Amino acid sequence: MRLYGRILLLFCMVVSLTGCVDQIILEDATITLMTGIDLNEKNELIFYLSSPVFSREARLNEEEYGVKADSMRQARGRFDEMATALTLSGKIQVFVIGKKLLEHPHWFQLMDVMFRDARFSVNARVVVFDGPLAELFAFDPIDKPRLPLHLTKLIDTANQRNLTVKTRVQEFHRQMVEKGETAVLTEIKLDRAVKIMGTALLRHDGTYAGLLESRDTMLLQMFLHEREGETSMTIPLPIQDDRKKIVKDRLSFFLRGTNRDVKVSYRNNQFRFDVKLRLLVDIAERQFPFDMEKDYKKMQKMIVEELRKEFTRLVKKCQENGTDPFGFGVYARAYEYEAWKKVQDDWAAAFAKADVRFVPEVSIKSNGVIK
Amino acid sequence: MTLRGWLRRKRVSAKDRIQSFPARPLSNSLSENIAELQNIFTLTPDLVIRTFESSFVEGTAAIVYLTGLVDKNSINNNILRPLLKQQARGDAKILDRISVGEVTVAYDFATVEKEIFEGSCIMLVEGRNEAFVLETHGWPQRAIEEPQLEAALKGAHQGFVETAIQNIALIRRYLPNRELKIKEFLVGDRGATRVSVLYLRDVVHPEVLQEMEDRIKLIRIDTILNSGELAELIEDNPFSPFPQFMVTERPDSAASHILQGKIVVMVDRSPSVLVGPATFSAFFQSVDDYSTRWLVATFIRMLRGMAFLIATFLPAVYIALISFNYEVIPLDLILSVGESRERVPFPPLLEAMIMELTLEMLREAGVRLPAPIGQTVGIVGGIVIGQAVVQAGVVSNIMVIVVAFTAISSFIIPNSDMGAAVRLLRFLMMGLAALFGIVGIIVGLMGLIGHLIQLESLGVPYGSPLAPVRFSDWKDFFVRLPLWSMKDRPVSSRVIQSKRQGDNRPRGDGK
Amino acid sequence: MKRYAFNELTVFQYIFLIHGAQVGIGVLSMPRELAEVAGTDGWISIILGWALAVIASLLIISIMKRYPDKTINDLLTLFFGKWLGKACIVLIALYCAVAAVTVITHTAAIINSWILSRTPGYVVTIFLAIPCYMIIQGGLRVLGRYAELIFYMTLWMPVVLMTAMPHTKWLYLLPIVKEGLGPIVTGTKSTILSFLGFELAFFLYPFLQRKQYASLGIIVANTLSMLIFLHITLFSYTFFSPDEITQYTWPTLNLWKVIEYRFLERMDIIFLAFYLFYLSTTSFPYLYFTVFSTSQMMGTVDHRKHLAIFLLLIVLALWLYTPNFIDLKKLTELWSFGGIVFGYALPALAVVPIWLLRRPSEERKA
Repeated sequence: MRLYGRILLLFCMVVSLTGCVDQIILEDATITLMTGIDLNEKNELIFYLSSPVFSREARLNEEEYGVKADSMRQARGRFDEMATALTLSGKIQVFVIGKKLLEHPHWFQLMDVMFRDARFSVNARVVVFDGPLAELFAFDPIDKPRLPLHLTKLIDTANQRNLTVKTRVQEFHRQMVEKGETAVLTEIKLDRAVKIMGTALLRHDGTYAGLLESRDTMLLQMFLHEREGETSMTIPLPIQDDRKKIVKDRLSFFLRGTNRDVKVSYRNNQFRFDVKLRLLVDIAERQFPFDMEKDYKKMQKMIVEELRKEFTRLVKKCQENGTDPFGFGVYARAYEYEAWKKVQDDWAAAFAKADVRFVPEVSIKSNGVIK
Repeated sequence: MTLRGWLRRKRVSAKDRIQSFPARPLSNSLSENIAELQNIFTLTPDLVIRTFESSFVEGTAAIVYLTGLVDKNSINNNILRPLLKQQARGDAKILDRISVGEVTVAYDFATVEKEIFEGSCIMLVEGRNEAFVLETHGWPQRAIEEPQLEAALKGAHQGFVETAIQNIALIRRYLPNRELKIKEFLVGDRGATRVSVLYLRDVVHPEVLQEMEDRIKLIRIDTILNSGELAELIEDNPFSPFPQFMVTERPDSAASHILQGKIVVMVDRSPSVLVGPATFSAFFQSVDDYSTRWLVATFIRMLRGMAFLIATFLPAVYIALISFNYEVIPLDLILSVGESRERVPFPPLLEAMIMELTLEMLREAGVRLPAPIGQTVGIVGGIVIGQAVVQAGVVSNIMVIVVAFTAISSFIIPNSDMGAAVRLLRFLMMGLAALFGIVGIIVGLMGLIGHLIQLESLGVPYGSPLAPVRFSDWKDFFVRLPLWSMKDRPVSSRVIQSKRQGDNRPRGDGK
Repeated sequence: MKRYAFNELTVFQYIFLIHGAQVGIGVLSMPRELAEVAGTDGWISIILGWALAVIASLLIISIMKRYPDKTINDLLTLFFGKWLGKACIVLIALYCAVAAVTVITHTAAIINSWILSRTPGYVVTIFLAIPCYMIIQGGLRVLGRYAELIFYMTLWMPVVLMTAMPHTKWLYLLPIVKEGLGPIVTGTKSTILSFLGFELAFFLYPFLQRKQYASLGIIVANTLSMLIFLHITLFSYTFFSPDEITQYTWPTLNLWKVIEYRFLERMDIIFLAFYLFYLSTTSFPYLYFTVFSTSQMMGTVDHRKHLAIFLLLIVLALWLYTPNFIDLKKLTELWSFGGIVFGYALPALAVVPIWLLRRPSEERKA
């Protein structure tokens, strides 16, 4: 028995030498922090990669490559031909898609490897870039950290202020596959600095449908996440509409809490959504005289009216675009399943016909520390 | 099989080498007895034989002792002086004149020889075939000092010394109770060592006690110099890295263990005692835990638990993360680790090995050196090497942090034996991590758990109260609940009488 | 006659042994399998499956109660005589072996596809076999302690999963019972595999110290498992959209991928590494009872030799042939089938004759 034990031990030791095959030491790895897909003028797929360089002898602390390939896996091979070390995909922070690619439907299949390969990070932020991706990857400002880190931080903080959405790869997958909603992505542009443009709306097949500016994004976020991050809105109030004034009649408020309630009904081949939004707001800024103590109800009413207008406009825009970033389809499935089943494969069309009514309820909780 | 047979053969031959004397009786003649003694003690310059005439005995008498082992004052003042004094004898017998506490009578040379070696003074009288054994122990010994390895902040500052009798006295001071029983065994054929087993008779489970006695009785060996040697001969699993008996130099700690229903084994000539059955958790407790406030003690206990995990796994986790599962490291950290690793020419395992071995060497070097030099070595090693090695690009600075962290953690473990075990395990885990990354560590952890739950100390589960889970003992495990809440003795030490105290919960205001 | 006195189990160890055997590979794929059949109503199937499992468990206990000192192996020889009984024991050993092999190959496959993508499966298996041997050689008592300890050690996992709460959308669960009861009942079938493990009571009962808690204990074990299944499945259903969940082989693992802390990212790797403990509590009892049966059949007392041989055989088999994902599926189906026979059909069939035979037969033979 002891002899067998020894043989077994020896065997284990020999075998264990093969155990190291998975070992990739950190400095032998090119850790991809940002990757991107774009089309060139000839409609060929180009894959981009950006990764930090750890060598002290290198003058730049980052390497960027762009290669032509048919798939992401194939592109990895190309990258390995050029990059210092083995490219690894477990730490991707930002996944950028060129706006040009979004003109073509069903490009989503390109991302298959990200879900099939378990080692891929699914926490990368998905971003739409308005312009050729080569410019973005070559962009190297001296007053900013490495581009991937800069972008990551930019998106995260902008999302905290609800200027744009933060869609991670996993969530993007859900938005693309789920029949009852369409995807929303962060859109950026290079304009001396990288600038967040707002939120890109995608149709169900992945094509680009339109851009929501940060103001609309706030409304969208308000609906989607009730209260997450910090929402501060500035709205014009029609007290005395004098266009020549420099100091305009503006009111800003913070959102302290939101509560949404969606009622769904189906009548005459048409969905109807009654959205009740209860908002608790703190006044942050008021650029016109107003007697809050006496007329705060009036103020609430004005805000409600303004918000209702904005929301209705936003929904209309989405309906015209053939998108449903709100996920009304999910509500439709949950509450009107029979009707939903008939239209689930073309929800966008059904949603375009739907009647969406917003009923905001605003309650001012604080007026700041001056009157 | 063959190995075992070989060992056994050797053991038998060792026994054969020892000349055993038949228990020859003493004769009536003093001169014959003295001749025989001189025959036994050849080449023994420290043997003193003093013959004298006394008015209390008919004829001559002699006292025999080994000069270094006896208390000369006692011999001069309490034995010789009264006997040499010319005085009317009256009815008094010899022993009535001798003012020595313990006197026994021996009839054969074997006993006489043994007693002389133990520092007694033998008195032989002409015409009597008996010898008086007078207790005059007075060998050189050390004063009681605070134990070095287990210094306590608030506990007593007494430590055991090299004399079992004194050590027993130290424990008796804590437990003046008639149920404190002491069983004595003589272990060793060449230099019989007095091994004492101390326990509370009405608390200790008889089976556990029997097990301990049986194991001690089975030992056949020249002599036992140290309690560590004894532990190695009677432990349950000799291949385990974990100590299966607790070794302590503190009388208060020993007494507290006896009260918990454990058995204390004391080896004469050794300043530390064995406590068994030991449990894994006991190695993470210190006497100070019970003299500080319980919230503080709980915090420190948890600190130790964390230290155990860090000391065992941190370098392994470092290796695993750097060479396999880099995804787990947060982005900012991975960049700084990558930058510091970039110049290092060695693979992570080697890097970690170099630093860990350096540290172990520093520690070992510091232990044997006199205190001032030891400190210097520590400073030179810690600061100079640590700094230089990073600047030279031999190891990364993250590695230095990891090593320093593990070193501190392994010294937090209050028991030095357990600390050593942890340091060994660390290397094993590092190897596994270098092979399979996190999976390797988990497999190692699984093996460790598997070993711990099977290990027993005197037939009592070692992993208790964790495996088998005994929630009632968790009061004194990761946490140290207030003393008044621990009404029962721990189940883990398998006691037959479990109540430890009544309801002592302080209520304030006397309500 | 108390042959199994040395290896006595406490009630908790008994509960956690069964619970540990139940929570294993099933959980990883369960949300998908249920969603394929029953959509987002799959979680109701779990409750139905639980009810079935509890009934079967109680039947088993009621059989074993008549012969408190005997395992199923002893009973089979008692009823069918020496040779037929031995044949039955071989079948049972085979069943346990299939279960053990299924779990082990799955473990290797999951590790291979998730963490160590290039290490050969048999190497992983060899290294898993070492702690495996260390623990199982200690017998049932050690297994019991192990199962209990692992349960407490892995308690953090459902709690950490709660941090994925903000990503969930409970709206996905609505409407409840959307397609009628049909799919839900069909879905129950795929929960059967996950609840397998209670049939170990056939073996465990004679080892249990306090037999009066046998029924209660097995209900608790089943309920604990049911709660875990429910927790994971509900979380998966609300995290993934109903259209998406069917795409993942092991949705439970994908669930962990999104959990991220400032100090720790990619929780799935850590989760999976710790999940090895769960998998071990599933495979170890089956491994043990395989070698327990074979060594009992051969008349040897020491199961360790059989264990070593069995482990070597598994490693050897994996060395010669690496199972692909179809093989894994087939193995699972085989185990499910065996489980239906051994765990559900056998107690259901045996309870009547045994109830009729009652005491007399036992007294005559014993």
